[in-house]
This record gives sequence, structure tokens and C-alpha cells, in this order.
Amino acid sequence: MPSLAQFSKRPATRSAPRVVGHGGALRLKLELAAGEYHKAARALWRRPRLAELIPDYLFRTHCMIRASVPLMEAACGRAASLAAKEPVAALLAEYLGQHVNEERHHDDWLLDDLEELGVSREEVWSRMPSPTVASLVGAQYYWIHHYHPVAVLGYIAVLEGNPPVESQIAEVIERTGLPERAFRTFIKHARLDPHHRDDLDSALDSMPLTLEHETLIATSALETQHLLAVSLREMVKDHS
Amino acid sequence: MDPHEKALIRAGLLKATRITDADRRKIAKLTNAEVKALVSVKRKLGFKGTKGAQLSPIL
Repeated sequence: MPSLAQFSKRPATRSAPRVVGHGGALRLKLELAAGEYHKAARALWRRPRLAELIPDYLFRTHCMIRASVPLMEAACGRAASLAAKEPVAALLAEYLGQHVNEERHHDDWLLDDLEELGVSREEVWSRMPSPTVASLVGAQYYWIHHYHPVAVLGYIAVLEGNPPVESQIAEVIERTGLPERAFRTFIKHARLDPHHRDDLDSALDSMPLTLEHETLIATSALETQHLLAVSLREMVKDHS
Repeated sequence: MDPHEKALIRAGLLKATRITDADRRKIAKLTNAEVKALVSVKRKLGFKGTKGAQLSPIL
């Protein structure tokens, strides 16, 4: 395991003064590499028979967000164990301790939505998740337990970074003819995620991150974004 | 030329249109100042960014 001491030595900037906050810099890094994700998302949402894909899309989303709370609790616990030695870990534990409560039971919302589409809870829980989703979520456990839990902020930044807007959801409902009640999770997140994104940016900006922290957060975020694109492509291919 | 711009040219990211695994690793290592400079220069070169909400997996 690498020495945690390295995380407290090097400043986040090499020579120039900081010109953008940690949260803003992370968003710019994601933006530079987001083409792959947006291309995959466009391919999904422009499908002619989109209604056929929606249950799978909700299932894959559930596979990810069923892990949100346990993942954040794991990161919070590890951060708390490092907090006495490291200010970043202390601030991370504080942020996650609050944020985890805001995410509880969101996976249950999706189960309710899937039931509206005729997919029972038993079907959801008995179906094997995609290995891509397992890789996407599982990588976070590696970072948390075997390197540094601050990586999870990159994951959260991606999963809360592109919230749906209600007009888009309305368009999908109209195009698919599916019941609005099947999209309640999306509608709620269209309202919640912009606030969560701002909270995360504030938390990132308040942390005395070193360049190593920033690189780790960005690596986690960029790989998450990449694997999300892979997951979307897989789903579209499964229905082709 | 801006020193950050020079660094980015050396990193080969200024003209990258399709981001590879190696590019992602380079992007992750950029400092805040470098990433801002990179986006700024790329926009001058026609990079439009990818802003715009998508229905996406959410927490």
C-alpha cells in the first residue's frame, strides 16, 4: 500500500496560482473526455423503439444506485479512520456522513418505477448485474480500501454531474408512451441533483487537496464516465 | 506562448479529438491551471465542450 504521507506534501498546483477551484477543475477534466459518454447517451435516447429499452435502463441504474449508500458508508468509515492524521480525510468523512443520508432509499424509488413497467422487485434482485456495472462500482471499493477513500468523490461527481432536466423526461414519456409514474426517480433527481452537485463542488473546494488527491479523484471520475459509456453501449447492443 | 499551453502541447492533448485511455490518464494529472488553459485553448480551436444535460445514471 502506498504511503499516505505523500498526500500531505505536494501542493495541488505546480507553479501557477490556482485559477479555478477543485470542483470546477474536475468538471473541466470530465468535459474534455465526455464525448464518448454523450455519444453513447445520444445513441440510446435516439433509438426508435426506446420504450423497449427503458426497463433495462432502469435496471442498470438500479444496479448502480443500490450500491450508493453502502459505498459511501465504506468510504466514510475509511475516511474516519484516517481523519486524525489527515485533514482531507476528516473533511471527506464529514461530507459523506451528511451526503449518505440524502441518498438513502433512492434505490427503492427505482424499484417502484420498475413495478410500474411490470418488472417485479423479485425479478430485479434475481437478475445478474452487468460485469461492466460491477467493474464501475467495484473499482471504488478498491480505491477506498486499498488506496485512499477520496476517490469516491470522482464517482459521485459523475453520477450526480449530469442530472436530467424535466423537459427531457417529459419528451421521453411522450415518445415512449410509458406512464409518468415509471419516471418518478428521474423527475426527483432532476430537482435534487443540481443541489447535490453544488454541495459536492463546495466540499471539493473546501478541501486542502494535494495534486495526488486531485489526480486520484479525476482518475476515478474519468474511469467512471468511461465505464458508464461502455454500459450504455452494451445495453443498446443487447437490443439491436 | 503560455507555459501551460506548452505543457499541453507536449502532453499531446491539444489536438486530441478521440480521448484514449492514455489521454484520460494525462487529463487526470493536469493541474487546475493546466486544465483551465487546455479547455480555453481547445475552445479557441473549435472545441465546443459537451455541456448539455442528458438523462443519466444518478445517485
